[in-house]
Amino acid sequence: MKSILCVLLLCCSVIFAAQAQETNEAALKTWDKIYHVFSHPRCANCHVPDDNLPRWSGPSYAKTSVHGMNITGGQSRIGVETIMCSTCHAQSNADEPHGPPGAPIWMLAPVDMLWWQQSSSQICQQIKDPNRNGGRTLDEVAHHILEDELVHWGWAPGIGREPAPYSAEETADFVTLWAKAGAPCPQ
Amino acid sequence: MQLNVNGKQHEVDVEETMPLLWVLRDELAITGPKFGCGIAMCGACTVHINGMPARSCSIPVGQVSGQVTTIEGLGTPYAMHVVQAAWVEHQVAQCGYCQPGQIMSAAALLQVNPNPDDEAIDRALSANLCRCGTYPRIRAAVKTAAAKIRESNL
Amino acid sequence: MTRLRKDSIEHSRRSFLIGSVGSGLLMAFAPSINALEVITGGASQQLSGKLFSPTVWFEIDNNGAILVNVARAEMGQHVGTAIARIVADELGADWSHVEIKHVDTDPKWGYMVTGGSWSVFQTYVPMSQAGAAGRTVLIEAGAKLLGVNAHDCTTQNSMVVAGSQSISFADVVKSGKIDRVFSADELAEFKPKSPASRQLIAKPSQALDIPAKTNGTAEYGIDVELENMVYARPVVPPTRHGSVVKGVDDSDAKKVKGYQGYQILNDPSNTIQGWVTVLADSYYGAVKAGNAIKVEYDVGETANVSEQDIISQGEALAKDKTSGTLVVEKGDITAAAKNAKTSLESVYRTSSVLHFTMEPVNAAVEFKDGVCHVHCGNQWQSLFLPVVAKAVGMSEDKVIIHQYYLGGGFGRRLAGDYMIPAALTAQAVGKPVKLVFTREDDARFDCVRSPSVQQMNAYWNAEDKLLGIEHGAAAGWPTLAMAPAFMPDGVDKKGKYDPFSIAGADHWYTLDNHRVRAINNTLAQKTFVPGWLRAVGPGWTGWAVESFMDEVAHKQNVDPIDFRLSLLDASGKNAGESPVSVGGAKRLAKVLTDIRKQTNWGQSLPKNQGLGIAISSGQERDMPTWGACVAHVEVDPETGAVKVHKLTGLLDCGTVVHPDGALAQTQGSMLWGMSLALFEGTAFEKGQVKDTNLNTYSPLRMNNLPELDISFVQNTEFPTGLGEPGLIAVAPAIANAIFNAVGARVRDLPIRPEAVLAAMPS
Repeated sequence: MKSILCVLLLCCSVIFAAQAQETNEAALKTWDKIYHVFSHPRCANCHVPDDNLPRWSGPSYAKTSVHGMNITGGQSRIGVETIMCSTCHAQSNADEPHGPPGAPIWMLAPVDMLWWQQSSSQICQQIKDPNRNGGRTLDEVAHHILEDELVHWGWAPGIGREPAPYSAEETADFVTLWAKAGAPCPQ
Repeated sequence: MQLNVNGKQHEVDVEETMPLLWVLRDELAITGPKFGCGIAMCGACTVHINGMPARSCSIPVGQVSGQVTTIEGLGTPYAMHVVQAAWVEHQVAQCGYCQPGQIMSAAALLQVNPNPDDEAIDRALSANLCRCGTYPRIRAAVKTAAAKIRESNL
Repeated sequence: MTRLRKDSIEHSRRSFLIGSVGSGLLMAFAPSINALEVITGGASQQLSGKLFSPTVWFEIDNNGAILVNVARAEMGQHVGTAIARIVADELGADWSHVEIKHVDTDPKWGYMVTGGSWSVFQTYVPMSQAGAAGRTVLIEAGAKLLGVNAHDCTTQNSMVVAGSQSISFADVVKSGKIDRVFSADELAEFKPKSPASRQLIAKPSQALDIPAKTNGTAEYGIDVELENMVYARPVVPPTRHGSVVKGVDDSDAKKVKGYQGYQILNDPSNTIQGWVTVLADSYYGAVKAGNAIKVEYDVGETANVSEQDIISQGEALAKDKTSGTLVVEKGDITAAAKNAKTSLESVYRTSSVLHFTMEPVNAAVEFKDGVCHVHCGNQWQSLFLPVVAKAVGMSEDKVIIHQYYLGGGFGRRLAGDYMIPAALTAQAVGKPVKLVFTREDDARFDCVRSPSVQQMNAYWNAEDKLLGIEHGAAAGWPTLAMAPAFMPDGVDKKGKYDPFSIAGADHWYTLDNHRVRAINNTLAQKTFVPGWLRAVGPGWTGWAVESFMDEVAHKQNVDPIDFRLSLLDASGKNAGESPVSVGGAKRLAKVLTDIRKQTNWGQSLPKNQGLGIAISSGQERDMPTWGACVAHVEVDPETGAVKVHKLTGLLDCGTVVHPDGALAQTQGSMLWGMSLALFEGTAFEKGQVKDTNLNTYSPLRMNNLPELDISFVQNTEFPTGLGEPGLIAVAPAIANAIFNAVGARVRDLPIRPEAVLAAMPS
């Protein structure tokens, strides 16, 4: 009886372990999708390092370059002195091809939230770290993706620009799903 | 729609999506702000909205609230703004087409920074393109205007 | 070139009339060369009766205000100021009384073209003479009023002065009764004032057009408002030539507020083919309708042409020693090549570049009382007025082009092709039309500077003596496209060539054997309308000549300045001719010697930094401005990025008429040269340029501004042009500096970091 129990337990734990393994793998796959979004130029171009320089990418540029015209977001990440992001970026996208994209508040992401040229593992660690993600729980991160208008711009970037993959809702769902599965990060 | 330009209130009947530039030029016949690139990358259309520079070619008029100032409202031919006076002193303009935008950008800069170094000037004005190559004179004129502003603040 | 110039200074053979008219004084050239024979009743009667529409060059009203009429386009060179100062200096006028007016295309103004840095060069003598004649008359009348002998009088500050007595020009004019005709021969007797007695020329001054350009009141073509006008935007077809409109679907355009339909244009002048314009009651509406309308075409044969296709043809042509038209043939280069022990061959390329004038091209057109009025800024009204007339089916005397400030010329507005769609649209809709190109439209319709390929060969004998140089230059030719009558014969009379697309290759270095072939790139010619761009031929031939001179010097292990000086011996055809090119290559040698000292040539610099030299003699041999440029650059060995620390420019343009204007033009042309060297270049892709706005076309901005040290040789020789020559030496000076900094020889313009990196010795 005891041995049967043991076998059963063993079986269960193997199953559980297998399930956990499966859950972990599924979660990592979910994370991959999130990484696919976060590392997309529509997102990463403004999640830049402490050089405070927005990036430009797209089919008309041979490779990603820094924003032209000697523009910087500055430490404030909203522009410096009288060259604020809002000098050119209106509250909505320009109609004209290559015109300035816009959203109600146009700015660089805080410097802690570095995504540009970061690995999947690096972004994963960052997004889970309240010290570097704006003091958010993962639920709050999901909520932020659902609610923030500048984040939403990534999926509606204006004519001629490739939107980020999936949608805001899907991405928020991915975050929730991944968080429920323990939010594993790739090695 | 109401629009305040150079201290004067205007009633304009246009689509809210029409860029401010075309409202100024084609509806109000205020032609100092110029059309250059249409995508906010040359700066010829620069005006002030509540004292801050804005590229009027890319700001829908429906999103404008507050005071719009154009080159015509900065000074007058008879009483030039200190920046315009410096522009004449240094004989900056060549073809002159970009200069309203350059001057508006410079005037805004000097409001917040009355003692800009080359880096600050380059920062504020590199988004204003000039094809004639007046950049050295623009730099010099900004410094002259800055000195005059500092003097008058003493 | 020569014909063009003679046409444009034809008024110097006309008699000159000065007379009291109304309450003012008019000074005018008579309308025809033989006017003197038909003048009866004196100058005053002719001028006031306007019997034969004299060309009023300047007038003085009874308050002493002096108005100078200017038949040149104002595009940043303050040409009106320069011309007015020539007149005012001779008159002895108070500069603060002088105003200028830019005139329309009334034929009496003569041939109208502003380009080639010719304006001051061409008008210096006739305007000096006109001013001197005015002075003579004012002195004669003033002397009478003062009761003194005219010989004892001078003029200064708008006063006729005799010792302690004086009378103002205003009072002289008020007294009326001036009536004087000078024959062309009498006029020719007046020699320009001696340099020592000049009051205005070569003295500091403020340009008359600058205040208006500083306070927003300057009126450009794009600012024109006509009553009841409709706004229009073109739909630029996929090929420059040969497109045909098959169908138009404007169902989406109809949703645009204020949309007023479209026109399919039929152009009898054949300037444009396959064009549609969209109309709306606002320009914003026209832009949106233009984005929404769908036009189907039968496309022209160049719909798939790429930059590489054009360059490949250029390379093949430049290599084929039998191609092209002979422009220089000195000695026997074939024999030199045959007898050579060593040789050097280099191929230089330049990319297509846009004019990208800040003001996109535009024109407003109104048909009124049987006259077609065209309102726009343009540099060569006389070239396109007949084309407009042909397009709208009217005689040339029924077309008037009204002149405005140009928001940048740089050669783009030498072509007036943008007037055609505006005129045809206005004619079709029966209303005044203002047609404005968006920036993208402007780029796609630009007459770009053609991509070019130049092959240079140098030959040495067994004693390592340089035997000669051979130069083949292939490009699209603007003059063939737009003004073929101006193409001269080659030196062997076997074919014609575009002089503006080879100038600069006929340099002032003395070589025993020298051959230059000007070669037309026919694929370029078919694909687009090649344009004149600031500095024109020398702007890219100088790239090959001055880079190659450096390569030759380095191959001979001679200092590049010593090497150049050794060839600038001013012998033979390089001796120069009085007055314009007096001194010849000696003046170039002086510039080179002076700049060597000025820049401390040979100084040791930190790693990866270098100085480079290049010289220029723009624009053409018969109007040389002698110049040299030293560039100080630093190369990032990791990326190949080039930073220009400093550009030193030294120019000898003879008498500097307007010193600050000369400095401004040279600052501008040198910075344009730097922009072409490092920042500007596009490429044809599927028959059109691929870069159409600033998102990818990125000219020099303020943050890339180097230190500039510009000076002029002080002399009193004949004044030559300055709008362009500063540009020519900049790119080769930068390339030669890059070589001296890191050993990388770059041969393509613009100089891209990747190319520098690839050329770095490992």
